[in-house]
Amino acid sequence: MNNHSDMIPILQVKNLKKYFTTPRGMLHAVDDVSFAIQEGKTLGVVGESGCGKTTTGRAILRLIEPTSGSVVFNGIDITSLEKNKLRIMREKMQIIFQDPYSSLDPRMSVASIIAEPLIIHKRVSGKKELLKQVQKLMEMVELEDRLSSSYPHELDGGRRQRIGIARALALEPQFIVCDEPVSSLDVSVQAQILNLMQDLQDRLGLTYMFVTHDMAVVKHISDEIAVMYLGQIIELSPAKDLFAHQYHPYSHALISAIPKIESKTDETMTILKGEIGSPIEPKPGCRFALRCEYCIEKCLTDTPVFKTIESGRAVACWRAEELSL
Amino acid sequence: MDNNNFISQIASTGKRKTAFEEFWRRYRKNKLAVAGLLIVVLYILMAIFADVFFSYDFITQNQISNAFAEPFTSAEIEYKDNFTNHFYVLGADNFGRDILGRIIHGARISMIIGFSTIAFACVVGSALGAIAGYYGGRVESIIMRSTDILLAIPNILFALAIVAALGPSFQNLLLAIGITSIPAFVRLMRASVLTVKNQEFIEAAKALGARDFRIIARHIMPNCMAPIIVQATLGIAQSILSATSLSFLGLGIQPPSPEWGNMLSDARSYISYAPHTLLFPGLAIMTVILAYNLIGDGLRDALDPKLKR
Amino acid sequence: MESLLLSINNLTTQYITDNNIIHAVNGISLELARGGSIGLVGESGAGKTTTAYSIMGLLPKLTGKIIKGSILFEGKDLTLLSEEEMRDIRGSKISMIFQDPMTSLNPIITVGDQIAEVLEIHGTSNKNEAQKKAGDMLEMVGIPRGRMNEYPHQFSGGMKQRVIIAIALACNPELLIADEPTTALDVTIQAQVLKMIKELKNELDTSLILISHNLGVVAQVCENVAIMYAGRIVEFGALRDVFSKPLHPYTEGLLNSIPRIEVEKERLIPIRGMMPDPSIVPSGCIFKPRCPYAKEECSVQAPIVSKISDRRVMCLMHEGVIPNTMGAANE
Repeated sequence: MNNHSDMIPILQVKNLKKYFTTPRGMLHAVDDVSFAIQEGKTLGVVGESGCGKTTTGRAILRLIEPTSGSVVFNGIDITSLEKNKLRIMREKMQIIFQDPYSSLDPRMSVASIIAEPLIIHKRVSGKKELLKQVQKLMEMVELEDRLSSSYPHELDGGRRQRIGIARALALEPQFIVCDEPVSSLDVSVQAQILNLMQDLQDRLGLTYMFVTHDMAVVKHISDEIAVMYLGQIIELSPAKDLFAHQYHPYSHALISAIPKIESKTDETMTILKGEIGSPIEPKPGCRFALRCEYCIEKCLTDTPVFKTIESGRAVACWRAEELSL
Repeated sequence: MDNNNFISQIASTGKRKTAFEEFWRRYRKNKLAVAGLLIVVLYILMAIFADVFFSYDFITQNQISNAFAEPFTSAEIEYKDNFTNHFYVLGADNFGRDILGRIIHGARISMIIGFSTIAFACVVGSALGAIAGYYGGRVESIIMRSTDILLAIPNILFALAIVAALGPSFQNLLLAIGITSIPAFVRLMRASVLTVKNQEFIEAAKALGARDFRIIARHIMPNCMAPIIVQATLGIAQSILSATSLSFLGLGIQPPSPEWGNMLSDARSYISYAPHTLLFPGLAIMTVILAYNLIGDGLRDALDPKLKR
Repeated sequence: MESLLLSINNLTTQYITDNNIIHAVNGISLELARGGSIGLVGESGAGKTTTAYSIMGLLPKLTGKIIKGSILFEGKDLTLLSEEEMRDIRGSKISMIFQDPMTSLNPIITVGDQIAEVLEIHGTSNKNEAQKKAGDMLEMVGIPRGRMNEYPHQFSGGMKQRVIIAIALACNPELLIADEPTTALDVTIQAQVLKMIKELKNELDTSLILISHNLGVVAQVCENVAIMYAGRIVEFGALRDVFSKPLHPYTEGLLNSIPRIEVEKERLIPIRGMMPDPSIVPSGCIFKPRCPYAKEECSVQAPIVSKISDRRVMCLMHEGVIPNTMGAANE
């Protein structure tokens, strides 16, 4: 990797917003999210259900049209691309889905699922080359050759997820959104898939945006982590530093709530009061304020600014610097 | 990574089955459905080979002297200036025409009506339904409201209106029944598309850069076929019934064509005098409709993905 | 030793379908002391839920069958009871919480009435008392009494799970079986619910069987843990001991394969291969194909339960048949 690619991120998201119209008002699913990912790195996006992490991933790929904001990939703003150019762009940006059951067409064989992207983008000429490519991809994700004529429902979750990965890799993408790729897998299989994804990243120089609710998984796989709450990134930090200490009270609660194997965590655990608020027409002020034990007057009226606190770490909290969590 | 278990798992279920073998294995379990299939095959064979058994001229030519001949009786007939002895298996009708022959030729008419109207309705209806379901919005509103209007008119009444306006002919009958069969397919297809299109593999195809046409044709339609096939089978029964009803009312196939509805219509005046003239065409209609419905039920079970394995 | 509440002996449960027998639970034995708690841990297909259904008498009528073994609850063998006798026990003496709080509640009945219903079914209270008690139960699980007349859709996932726990505990059962009670919940809500389960358990002196695939969740709540694999309990013991020094290769494999917050791992060590086909009875040890320590003997001789102080483990390494190389690899 040369200096140049270190400086300019492969993906830069600026002020991304996605609002949905609902009968009760505007739902702010993703509300002014900005971040960048360097080539070959993994950005983990964590948060609880309804925090907008999945929508963010979809909006970046324009599987959902963003309401506003820009997504610059390799120097090209893809939010303004027209349909045909976007289709070409899709070769470089792929997605791996959470549910290996519903993300594979039940009526297609393993080989034809993996072959589909190659056919769509006319990457191969002739059946022979196609089969060779499919074989190569199956090898890459450690799928046995003899499974090529099987159907997804005949395979276990781990193998199905491997199919999903092979399909995403077929077009040799640079960037992959991984949407909870291991959440529905058993722990022993989960480890197999995580290792595979890391190996592939090293070998192919892939850049990941890894969306998950599992803090342990995100810590394991990420270089950098963005914590989301109600449509906003509230803390962005290198992975190791975030787990060492947190600036935002929500990040702190999230990490302390993880049930640990070694110790009963009752004593140290910060148990949050209440539940996640409504993303519909949010009021000004900090969205976490009502659940926050450190809330002050200002938090209820002024929306905290997302600002850099130390090198590489940014947080959206009025009291980030004075609290020590 | 070796895995003996997986191999044994495949080995234990025997050879890998194709989708059709798997379907047939499950269909076969339903004995009534198999019976239904046999009956339908029998009628189809009758329809194809009708001329081998009886010529069309023969069964439309009056033999007044043999009117109401009982089943299993012989009588002398005059056909193409020859006098021969004819064995009436199911007896003769009020004009002395062979009832068995007329039922066999009637099967041809009924099968043509059933298959052609449903083929038409299925293609048009599924396409409209798929478009409505996939694109939504105004396109959907227009398509769905039009079918709602069509549904609001009773089938027979609508067919009556078309036949009355365009005149009673075979083509008009097909058109009338075909159009009235469309709404069922539109609604069914739209509903299945709505469930399938929200599955992640559709999103996956979009992420791969697939065009709309490919997504609809390759991913959505094949996953919606099961209920459509079932509906088509039941639809054939329905359209045969509609055709016989219209003919019974004198608005469908015109005499002397041996249509089952016509035969009933002719025979009803003699119900007490010669019940067999009514009984056999009635039985023909009943068995064919029953058979199609049995097949439909069998298909519904065999194609249900929830019952897989 | 405190008095035993539940004692399962050699329980074997199978699902019998057209041309297949699924060996879901294969001869497990388990004791639960009054007031005690056991975590049943394993991956999908390990037989955790089937064990729970066997205790509850809720196996699917046509296919599920207890082939042999006994389930002694307060001295009575539950496998011998009639459906009617079981019905009296379910909900009053033994309660169960299911995984999905979204579908476990009837959407058209108010939560208050759903709690009162259990009380009325088991004849513990008349209508007015039941309503009052239902309010008490709601308050106990941290929901204001005022929300009694609301419908399930007005509650969030975590709140629904609280309501379900209130229903389960309404008759003050001796034993609570919780099947993945927090799997569908967010981690901060999970922490709330786990804390509540633990407090209520102590307060009401209820015994608990907690089923989970999440080792951390079990570690928060239970004293003892049973590791299940392919319908067998491969290891049983005090939770601290089992998790800090596993005796069975599968337990070790599980601990190695999960990423952990508190331990730095460059790379996970997965268990190779996958769950065995439950319709096949293997000769030898069921874990052999995936076991990094396996020797030839393992494919011939099936391990039996070895007792090591107050722990139990099913592995030939602890029967002295093959050398114990596990510790060596650990150091």
